[in-house]
Amino acid sequence: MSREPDQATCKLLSCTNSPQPRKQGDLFPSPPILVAYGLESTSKTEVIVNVLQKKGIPYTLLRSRECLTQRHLLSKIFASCVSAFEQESQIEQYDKIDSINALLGNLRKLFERVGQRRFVVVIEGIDRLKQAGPTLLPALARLGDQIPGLSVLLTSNSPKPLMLQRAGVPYVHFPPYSRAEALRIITSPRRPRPQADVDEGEGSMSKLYAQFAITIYDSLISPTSSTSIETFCKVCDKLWPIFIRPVLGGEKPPGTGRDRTWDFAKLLVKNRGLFHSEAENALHDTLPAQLPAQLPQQQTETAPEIMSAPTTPSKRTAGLTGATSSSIPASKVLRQQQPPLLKHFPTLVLLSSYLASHTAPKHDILLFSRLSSASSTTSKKIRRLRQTPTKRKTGTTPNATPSKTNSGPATPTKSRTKSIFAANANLGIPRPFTLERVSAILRAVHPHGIPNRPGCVVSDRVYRELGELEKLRLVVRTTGAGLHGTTAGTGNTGTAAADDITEEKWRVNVGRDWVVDMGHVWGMGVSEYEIEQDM
Amino acid sequence: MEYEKCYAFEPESVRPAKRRKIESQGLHASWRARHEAYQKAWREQKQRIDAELSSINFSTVQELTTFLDEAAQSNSSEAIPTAILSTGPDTSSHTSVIQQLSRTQNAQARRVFISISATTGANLKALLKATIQKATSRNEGIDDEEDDSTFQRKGAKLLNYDLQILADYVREKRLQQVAIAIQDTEAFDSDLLSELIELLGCWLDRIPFAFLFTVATSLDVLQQRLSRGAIKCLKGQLFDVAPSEDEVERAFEAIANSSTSLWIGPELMSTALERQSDYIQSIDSFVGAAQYAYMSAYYGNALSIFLDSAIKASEVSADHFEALRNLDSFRDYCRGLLDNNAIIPLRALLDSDDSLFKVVGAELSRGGEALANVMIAVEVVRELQLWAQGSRATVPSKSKLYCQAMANKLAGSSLVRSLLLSTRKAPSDAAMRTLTAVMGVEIPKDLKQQCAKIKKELTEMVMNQPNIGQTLRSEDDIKNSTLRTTVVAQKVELSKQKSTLSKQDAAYTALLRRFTDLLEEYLNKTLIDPKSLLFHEIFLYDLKSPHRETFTPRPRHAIERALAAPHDYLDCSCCAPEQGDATLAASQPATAVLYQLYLESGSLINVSDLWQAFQAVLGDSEQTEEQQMALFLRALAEMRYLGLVKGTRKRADHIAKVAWKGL
Repeated sequence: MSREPDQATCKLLSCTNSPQPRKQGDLFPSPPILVAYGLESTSKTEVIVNVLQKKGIPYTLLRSRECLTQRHLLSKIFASCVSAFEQESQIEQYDKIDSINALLGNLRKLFERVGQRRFVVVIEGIDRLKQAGPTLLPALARLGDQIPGLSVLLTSNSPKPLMLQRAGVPYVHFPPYSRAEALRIITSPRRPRPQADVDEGEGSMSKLYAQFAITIYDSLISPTSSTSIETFCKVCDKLWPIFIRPVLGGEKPPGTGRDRTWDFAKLLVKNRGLFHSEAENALHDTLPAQLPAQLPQQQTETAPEIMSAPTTPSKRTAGLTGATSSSIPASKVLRQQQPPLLKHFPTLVLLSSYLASHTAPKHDILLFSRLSSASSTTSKKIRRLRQTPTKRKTGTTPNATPSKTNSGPATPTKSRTKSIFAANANLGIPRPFTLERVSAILRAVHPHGIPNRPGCVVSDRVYRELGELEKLRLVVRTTGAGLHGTTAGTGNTGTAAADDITEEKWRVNVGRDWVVDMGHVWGMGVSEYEIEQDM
Repeated sequence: MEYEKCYAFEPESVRPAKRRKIESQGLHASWRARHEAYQKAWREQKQRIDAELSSINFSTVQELTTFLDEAAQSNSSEAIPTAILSTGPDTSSHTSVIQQLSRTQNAQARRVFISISATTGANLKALLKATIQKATSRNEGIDDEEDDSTFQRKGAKLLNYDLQILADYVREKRLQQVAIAIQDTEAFDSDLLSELIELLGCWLDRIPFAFLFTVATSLDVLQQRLSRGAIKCLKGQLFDVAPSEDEVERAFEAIANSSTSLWIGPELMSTALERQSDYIQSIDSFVGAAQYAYMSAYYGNALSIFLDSAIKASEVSADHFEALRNLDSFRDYCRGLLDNNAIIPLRALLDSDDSLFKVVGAELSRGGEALANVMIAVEVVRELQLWAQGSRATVPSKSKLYCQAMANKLAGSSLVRSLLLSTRKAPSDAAMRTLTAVMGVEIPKDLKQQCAKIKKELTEMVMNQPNIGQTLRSEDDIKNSTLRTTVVAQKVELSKQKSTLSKQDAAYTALLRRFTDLLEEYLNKTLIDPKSLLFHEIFLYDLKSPHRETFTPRPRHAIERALAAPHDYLDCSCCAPEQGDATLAASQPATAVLYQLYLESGSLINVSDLWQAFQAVLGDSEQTEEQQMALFLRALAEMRYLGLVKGTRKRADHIAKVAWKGL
């Protein structure tokens, strides 16, 4: 990642206050170990590398993210040392690096051979190393003691101190960029501005840009990811062309007067929608959802949906990673043009799997049996379980998300107490189900019903489709009683199912929204089979 | 040969004729010839299907290639260029896309194309090892012994999962791109995939990576599974491959090709198509169904030997001719001959195998021709539909029309009638298009000539009309007439009034009528009932049951039926149900008895009760109690083995019912 030299120098300025032994290396022997710590994207590595370069100290940079194991890192340390001293031809004389000991021995040999030389090993993000042993960090901390001339420089993204088991290790803190610093970096004239080739009066444009950057920072960056200059850059790059589109497009600025011009306030008013919808999307990293051939039409189609997407936050999308919410509208557009993703029967199996995973077995008889609609006492029971007698009736529409949010606040206290005191508050975790159960549920939820003729057995077909869904990871196989051990307390079937560990079980692996979306294509819904508590 | 250390074994060209214990006789004797005929026929079909299917995603492959080229040119080190292929869950098509792509890629030395799948490695180390090996293995031997094995390269020892190896390789060979295709992103562990992407993202400044993901579900599912860091590393573009419906249509067209010798009947075809549209099935299974139909036709039907056009009369045994003479269609044909007093040819057919052989050959090719004509007629109907309904999306597929036509439900159907009617109402420009479209189909020559004549007249008529540019209207179109109500003697009379239509319009209407009459006559003549053709039993295969038994087996139903009604399978006289009601009987197998008792009980069964009931059924047979107990225990063990019952912790002396009948 190329960073502007500006940022590095800027950072340096802020660091000069702290005493850095490494910078006075001319006077003192370099410390065997130094740790630079600070949050992500505080340009630790860039600063270190720049300082070392300026000082003319030989160094090597290793990224622990690129190392899969401790051994990998150790061998890379040695390999980089060897190549730095240009000793590749004599590699045969050294041992294989499979432990810290071997590294120490080899490095000793190497440094003896090349004579006393200074060398700095910079290891970036040591806290991110995978499969690091407990002795690695203490060993690295002492490597410089054992080998004269070698210094180890670690950087760490976590504020936790590293377990170096050693006193007196110098730590340098890299604080996150402050607002002023961030803005200075972004608006510095050395950073190429997006669409800088526009010659609409260079001076006024850069002034506009500065104001724009401040607005972006205050509205978007500081509340979300204030530490990341990268995000700031990216958002600015993405939004600036849209922001100044009225100017470039030659639109007349509003207002009266002869020589009216676009100033920042007018642009901001003109683009007020920008900061609501598209700016929020710009913060997320998403995979694109557009086909190359259909780019122009698609953009116009998705535009209104993007506008509406963030204004209707549903409970569930908020719970997921934030990145998903912005991608949903675009994929919806895609799906309209294409044949449905899942065919009729697999959709039905998916739906049944979802219900089987999210319904407690004790409610099966209420929801999926013939009693559920016929008997009045049962429907009363269901109504009691659903708690909102009339409103819930509208829930038969497949997109039950809005209706749920409506009925949610109606009886908040009651449902909460109930779910707290329920013995099996399952917190929306899908529970494993057996083939028997899912085929029984499938029979119940089949929109046209399955004829009850002797030859008409669905379970064989269900088994096959479950296999297909498993291949797509929409449903996953669980072993034994599964992750939810509390099924034992739920009732007859639960106990029986928990007995046999070898029995095949599955659970659904996608969220409710996705299942509802799939069912919607074929006009099937899940909400009519749900009980409030289980959702 | 003892003096030789080794020698080349040269088998004699003809195996010594060994007397087989069971010499295949009668109709079975032709098995080998039929096998060869099948091989030949299916090879041709398969080639046709492969050619169709491989061309289907041609444009996607091209798009992908340009995408990769552009990515290689742009060389940005911010994010990995990623092509996301959304394929849908029928996962055979995309393998072919990636394969086609890799085939085209191999020609260029500047790009390495690696395809990895979830089975390549269970962890990151193994995955990277395999990737690096695949990428660099073009000129060096692979040593996949241990993870200890190291690569010796320019002195420095590198672990074999170190991407430095790949980076060095890329630098050495001056590669422009390392394209990694991941065929089953769903099957990957999400964390593993994210880690892999993030790691490769780190190396992007040294190795120019590009990704090809195939997504069987949807993009947001993929997005949810990947970590945010991984998504940050990707710069994606979505590509679309042909939907599975298209593939099925293409494969169908290849199967129902006019040069085929064996035709697949409507019932079988519609079953296969239905299965394809209802379940997650790759196109391979459809092709497999066709192949199975071929196999069962050739292997099961001895008369299919006549389908091989190269067969000679001397190679066919007399049994086959005898079988031919017993075919229903042949009998009907003979009856027809007799009614026409054509005694001599009939006698020849019945007596002489040679003359029968000639007739068979001629009739088979005639039948094939007739069916090919049906296909053409189907094509004509489809063209009419396309122009009548406007958009392609609403028109039923050709395969559906085929099924209708082969079941003889198309000729004179309401569908065809309404099509002809709507053609009759069409204005001149639409009629022109329809005419051109119909002439585009390979219709018989005389029809084509007549169509051309009509077209010429129509062109002249349009050119000669007074105000050029206006379309001619048909009188049959209701829009062109108005209803007029008149009250005569307190009665309302409705009368149709033709709105002002010019002379040209009237002529045009007559012309259109001629055209539709022509078409109607043609369709009625061509859309024959395939079952009325002579020897249709040979070239038309339409047996559903082998297909059903093979592709949609119902093991559960079979087990349940065997246990609940053992007589269906045993067919013994002792347990024959009296007057239809299946009852428990001591003569039935013990497991069956126990199963029927099991069906009557609830979800928890007291074993002691079950034992007593079992004893009561066995009743006063001569077995001792120990023997009965042994039977009971064995039956119970079998039930347990079948997964019908299992022990329960809830009550020590009970067993739990696990499976319900008829689910």
